[in-house]
Amino acid sequence: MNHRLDTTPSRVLALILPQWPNDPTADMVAALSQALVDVIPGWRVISSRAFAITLRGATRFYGSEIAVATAIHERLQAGLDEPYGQAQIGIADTLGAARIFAHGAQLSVSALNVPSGASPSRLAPLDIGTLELLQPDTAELVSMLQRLGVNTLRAFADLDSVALAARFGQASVALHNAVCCTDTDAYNELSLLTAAHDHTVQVVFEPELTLPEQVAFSCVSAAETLVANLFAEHLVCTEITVTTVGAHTITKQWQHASWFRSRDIVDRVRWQLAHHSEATSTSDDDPELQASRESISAVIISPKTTESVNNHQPGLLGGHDDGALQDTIARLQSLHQYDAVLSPRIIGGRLLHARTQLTPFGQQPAPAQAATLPWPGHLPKQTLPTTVPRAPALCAVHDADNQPVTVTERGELSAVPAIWIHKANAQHIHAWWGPWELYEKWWTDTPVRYRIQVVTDSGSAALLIYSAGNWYIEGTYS
Amino acid sequence: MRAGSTAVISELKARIKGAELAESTHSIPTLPTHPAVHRLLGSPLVAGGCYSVIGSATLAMQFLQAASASGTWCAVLGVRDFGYEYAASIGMRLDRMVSIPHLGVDWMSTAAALAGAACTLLITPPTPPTSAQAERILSKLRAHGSALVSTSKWPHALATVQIEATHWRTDTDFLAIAHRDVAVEMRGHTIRKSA
Repeated sequence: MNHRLDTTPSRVLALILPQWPNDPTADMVAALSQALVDVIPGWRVISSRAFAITLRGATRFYGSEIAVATAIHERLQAGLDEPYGQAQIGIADTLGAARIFAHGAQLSVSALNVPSGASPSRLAPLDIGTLELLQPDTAELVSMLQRLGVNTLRAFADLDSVALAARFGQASVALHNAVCCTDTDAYNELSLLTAAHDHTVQVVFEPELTLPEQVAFSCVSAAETLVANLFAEHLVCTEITVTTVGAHTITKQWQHASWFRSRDIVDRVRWQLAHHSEATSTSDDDPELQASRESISAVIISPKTTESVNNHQPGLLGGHDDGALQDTIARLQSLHQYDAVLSPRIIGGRLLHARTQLTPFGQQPAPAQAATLPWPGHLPKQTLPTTVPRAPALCAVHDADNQPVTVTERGELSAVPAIWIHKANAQHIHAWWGPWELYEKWWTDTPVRYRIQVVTDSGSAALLIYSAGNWYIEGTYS
Repeated sequence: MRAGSTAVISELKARIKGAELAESTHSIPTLPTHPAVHRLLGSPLVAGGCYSVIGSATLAMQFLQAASASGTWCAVLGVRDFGYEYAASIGMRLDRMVSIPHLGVDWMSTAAALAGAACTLLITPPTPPTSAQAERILSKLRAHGSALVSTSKWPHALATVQIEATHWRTDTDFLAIAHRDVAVEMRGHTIRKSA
């Protein structure tokens, strides 16, 4: 090794905004992050009102640590309304110590600057309750320590960290490291403060484009820019809003099962246009309609929900089982229509086909009533058919004289069902059960519906629905 | 040396044969299998195997049930009237299921892609697969360790199960899939099974 790492520890500045509201407006958050970044870039976030930064370069730039603190104070006072700009600043060798000193700093004092190496001796006499400043949910630990006679941070620092871990868990070790000023990694584990940038990208077409494929292809580089910009801030987006500007401007939100790569964004643009042109053209064969397909003058893509890259590591590495499946499905979706690959779920309802909701894979399902609510008239579990057509299929039930069977107002069959006719195929009914009334919106004028079950001589079994003189197949048992 | 490699080759041949017949469960990777299916086949489902289950949606679902219940992904291809609620009622996980009800002309590529991603596949092929097409999917299934269940005839199927006769019990208050006995034919063997 012929090079030497710079191992002089960087000093840490901790900043606390005691007057910061719990529910700041987006403008306030933007103003705060802008003010902080103006003084020094690269802040880390401890909480919504506490931030930290290492001072190596800033001290050189401003001349001294006190000068940095003064610059921060001035910039916050100038950039934020009273009293939000009031800040407490602590500077020490390590993050934990800097945070404790920041809490100790008076609002008027510009900074509580503890010289290098002096942190442990300054912390030592402080009360054990100081730990609650570092971690809000430590009241129980503190009271336990007090009962054990550990009343100062010095006594806490003297405890053996292995024994502490065994007795109080890993969280207590983090506090122990902070008090011993050995929490060198704690700073790096904090997430970066990102300025609330707008990552929206826009593509303008001059002249206007008509073919969805053309439009989508023209969005490739914009989509790549969007993803790259997010990456630069260690972000990925899981939800985007796509606006296609034309005679009819359409805005649609798209979710992704994992996160959007540029090709996924391009697919969503294409699907949005293709879906719209399908919906508007009354006949696919009409050449005039095809020719008059809407021209698009611009596409605006903005990320709606972004998440830290860290939350998506398995997918990024590609080693995860779900990742492989989601990649395959994303590929299939871009080959076919986006609504070709579906995710099923059971929702509330009485008729079986209405209880199954199929949503394009990766999309948020439309809100629906819960299947677990009581649904009077819903089939008990053991009578569920094994095949269910997506819409009840028309059929006929006749008696032995080949006359249609109906259900009377009293809820009884008009005759004994003998023949079940479906798609010109008549089968003799061997046995039947029912009719059972579907308890529906009896207060409306919709006719009462009934269910019967039939088994034919050939062993076919079906669940039929009677509605206003007609019979339908709700499901079959096979 | 020569004698040694011959021995290895014959051992490999024996293992391939074993895998194809699904007679031995030693050294062959298997998937979680419903006890009724295990009894029917005489062995667990083989990872990389194809099965043909004709005439019974219930039985086809039972082939997939245990693997799905264990949390692996299941792909349902070309089955337009799949009874999702029944599937859920026997413990299949819908949150780990993808369905492509309408397979296109190029359904082979779709099936092959999912054979390399999902753990189990249920398929109603729109057209009877040729031997070459089935081979292509089979190689994907073997590489990924997944299993395929077809609701119609499938070339190179380890087992073909066909419903021969169904008897419904009529002395009940309602009709339920549990109230039936089916006779199934499997590779020429007829065994009675209560569904």
